Amino acid sequence: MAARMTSTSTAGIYSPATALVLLLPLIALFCGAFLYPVGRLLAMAVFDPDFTVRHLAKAVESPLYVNVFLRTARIAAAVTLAAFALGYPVALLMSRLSGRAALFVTACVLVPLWTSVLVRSYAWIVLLQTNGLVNGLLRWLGLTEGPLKLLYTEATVLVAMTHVLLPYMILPIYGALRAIPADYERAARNLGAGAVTSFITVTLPLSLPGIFAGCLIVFILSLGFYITPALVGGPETLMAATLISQQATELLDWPFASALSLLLLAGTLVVVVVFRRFLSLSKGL
Amino acid sequence: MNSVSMLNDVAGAGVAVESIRKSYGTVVTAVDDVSLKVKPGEFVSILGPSGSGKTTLLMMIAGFERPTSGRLIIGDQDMTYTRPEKRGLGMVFQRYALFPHMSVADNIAYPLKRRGVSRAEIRQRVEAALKLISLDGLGTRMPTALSGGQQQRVAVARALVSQPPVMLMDEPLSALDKKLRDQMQLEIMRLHRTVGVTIIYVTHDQEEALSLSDRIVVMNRGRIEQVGTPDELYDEPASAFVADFIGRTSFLAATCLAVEGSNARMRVNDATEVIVPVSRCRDIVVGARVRIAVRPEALKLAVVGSAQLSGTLEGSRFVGSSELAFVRIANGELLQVQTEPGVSRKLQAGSPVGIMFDASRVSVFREGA
Amino acid sequence: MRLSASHAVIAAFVLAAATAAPARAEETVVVAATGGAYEQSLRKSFFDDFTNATGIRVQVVTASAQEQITKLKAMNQVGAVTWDIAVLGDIEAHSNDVRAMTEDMGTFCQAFAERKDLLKGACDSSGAQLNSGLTYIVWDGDKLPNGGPTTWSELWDVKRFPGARTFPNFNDPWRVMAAALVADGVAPSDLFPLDIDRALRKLDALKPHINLWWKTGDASQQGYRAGEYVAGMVWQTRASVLLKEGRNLKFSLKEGVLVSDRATVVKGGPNKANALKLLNFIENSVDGMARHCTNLGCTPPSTAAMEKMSPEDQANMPIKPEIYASLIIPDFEWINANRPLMLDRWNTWLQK
Repeated sequence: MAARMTSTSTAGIYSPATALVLLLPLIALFCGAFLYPVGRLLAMAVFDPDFTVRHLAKAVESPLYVNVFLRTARIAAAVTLAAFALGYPVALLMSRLSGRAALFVTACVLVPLWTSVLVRSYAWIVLLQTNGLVNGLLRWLGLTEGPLKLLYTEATVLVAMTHVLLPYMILPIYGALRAIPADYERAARNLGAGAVTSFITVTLPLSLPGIFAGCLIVFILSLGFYITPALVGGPETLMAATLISQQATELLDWPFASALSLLLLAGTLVVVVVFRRFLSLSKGL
Repeated sequence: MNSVSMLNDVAGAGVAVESIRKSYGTVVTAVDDVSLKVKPGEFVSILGPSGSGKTTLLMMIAGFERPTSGRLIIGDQDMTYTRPEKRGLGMVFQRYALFPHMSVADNIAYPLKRRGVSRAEIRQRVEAALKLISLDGLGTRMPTALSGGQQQRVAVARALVSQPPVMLMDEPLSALDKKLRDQMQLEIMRLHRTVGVTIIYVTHDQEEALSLSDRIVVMNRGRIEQVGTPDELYDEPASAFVADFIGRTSFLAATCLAVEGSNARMRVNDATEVIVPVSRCRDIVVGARVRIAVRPEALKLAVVGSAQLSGTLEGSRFVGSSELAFVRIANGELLQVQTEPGVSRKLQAGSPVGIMFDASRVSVFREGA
Repeated sequence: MRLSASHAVIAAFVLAAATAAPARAEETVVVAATGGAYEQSLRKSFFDDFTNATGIRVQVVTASAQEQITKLKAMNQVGAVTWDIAVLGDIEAHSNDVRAMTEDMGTFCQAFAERKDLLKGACDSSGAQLNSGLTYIVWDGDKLPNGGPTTWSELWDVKRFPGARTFPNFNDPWRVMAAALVADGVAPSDLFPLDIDRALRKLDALKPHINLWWKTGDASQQGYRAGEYVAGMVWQTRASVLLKEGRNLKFSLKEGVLVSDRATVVKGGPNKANALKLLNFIENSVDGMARHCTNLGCTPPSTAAMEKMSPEDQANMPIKPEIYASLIIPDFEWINANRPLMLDRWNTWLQK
């Protein structure tokens, strides 16, 4: 109701023509800087110059590329799970706090977002390298003899990506939790549910839209992640984005790079559709 | 009547609030040393303006807030610090708080599931509850697909289905329009009569409290001003606040001149002297500044000169069975005077009028008390 | 109100369009090069002098070699080339992709045919060499105090020289494969065509000891400081930074991989005449070449320039005949033709 009222009042102030003029820069930017280049890029995958599935077939037939895509999906799924497991409690805490404490936790979540991904990834290098803080601490505690190899492994990629992407998980869940009136949980408690039961039967299901949104964002961002795996990953953690950049910049094989991008995009879209289906199911419950 | 018997065999429990305080930090005291005894099966309203502490008191009874000090006894058990889910109370929330991701039937079944009631019995009791609130067949609907009044009834059914000895209601009708509210008031009264549950009902609407309750607790600034039946509150308000908050009241500033036997002589308006029975005065000493609270029906229009007070008619309002005349007296106070229909509206605004009052029906309070 | 709002928007557009047109009053030349220390050295050694001498301003666009090629390709596709000179690796500069986008510099080079001080290939149709650098063997003098591996076969010998190894992994795997083949007994002159299978088999043996696969020069430096490796293959330019820091780093010039950087004129650039002037200036600036390589620890393409450098710097250059003969010199043609195949095999091997 409130939303409808605002929209009509806005329409009252700005005529459709004015609104269009105001939107034009954005539309122009979207078409010129996004739709056109992406369309051209994707067209390159199947027109060379005539229609061909040669490049797509090459990507699908080679075990190397299939493996890289599977690994990318696996890492993205693992990062999503880890971010959810770590992010949900933080979101829950944020939604329950008020005043200074809430401000502090929110700042802790948001400030990393304002820091470059590069910096955050380098921070992990400093922490995890052979003479780094973590190894130093482990040795000081007498837990390990020599330094452990913590950097340049798939586990490091998981940890660093989860860290970088965590805010994208926390914020939508926080939004969903904040939108749940406190009375729902009170009602559950009043009706005989303990704190845990009331969380599982009421708070958790009501926050599902936020969970799905957070998981979707993190999963999709993970699929295309480039900088962090390149910096902290070992040579064996080759991911789809790195593969595409190799083809595009190293080999200048743009049609094949496009074919790989097309496959990544298609996979991403499938995930979006599946997630949306889940989302609408959870809404209809 | 089988459906009602499903909810019928509840014995209401008494609730005793003993010297309960709730303060936040050192500055804010939301509830200040409140004591209250609610008898089993009684319908008690807690009435007060916003910020009076009535909701905080209810939250402490429900277990959502911990009292800073004091005791809470429900039935014969000390439940001051018992977790809300262990108190076995029913509660209806201001906006019903029906779980939006569960069907109507699942909402009503929720407290039964938590208590481990068998599946078959749950189905039976949910159906009975739906019948009781005349929503049979709508169990599979989602709460958002119901009207406000229907949601309200589901919320009541959900609160009652586990047969709680006490039901708490937090302004349950405030989201409904006037007509529906009147209708729901009747339904709540019917339920209270048939089920026999103790009801503690929080509201800021005095009419609602007057028409529903056995007794009313009037709260102001975290304290109880008065506890009494609707009649007592109306006829014998314990404080100027209660007199003002319940029903229509006009106030006259006066000075107590003398106490003579069972009567007190007061000077109103720096000129007129009136005699008020001492029984209608609270805490009065000679020479004190007082406020005389008068209901419109204790005042009468009269011919100027023959009357105790005189003033100017500012206007009048038709209120159905009678009329209210608004009269500004010499010291600037505005009095509401009840008249027969058609009487005051015949008079021109600005006409001088006299006012007689029935001294046996006024209440006199110390100024600033 | 409504009118003025849309007028303001239109006015903003007009204003934006008017200010977007760049003022082009002075003569310039646009050079694309990798940034950081390399760009600084180019400025101090050549560009500043050039501007002083000619009044032509040198504008540097920072981009890695791969970005340069990718952007050049994109600029060519849309027909809007904004660069005049690209500074690329020797191998990339000779690739068909790049040659199609750059001018033939053969005529330009004829002017320097008589210069005895210039090394072979210092100027060819793919452009003018600015500097050559080694990718060579280094080791940690603290951890291997009695001497370290000086040849690739010794680097492979983890019993004699124990400790973690490092190798580059920046999508250009031929150096590592070539080093493996030399370690396996292939003479540097017989390397090409590379026997990829044999190279990867040889690498299998060392793989468990390779702790750091560096992707950027910075990572190789940081890895050394952090003790991620004891010995391995790094760029000479980066090793010289560590040496300047006073670290006990030792290196071997023997069997180093020698690769040059080459500056060439881009086809269709806006200031072609200025670009040729700049390259001509550089070819004649022996002092500049000496300064440039003193800064970076590289080898200039002119013996006259080498003579102007300090004896210590000269000692670090692979110009002694017996060292020069042992160097691994890339076969541009073979590498460029087999790039996709090598990368495929390399990726698959890394993932094993």
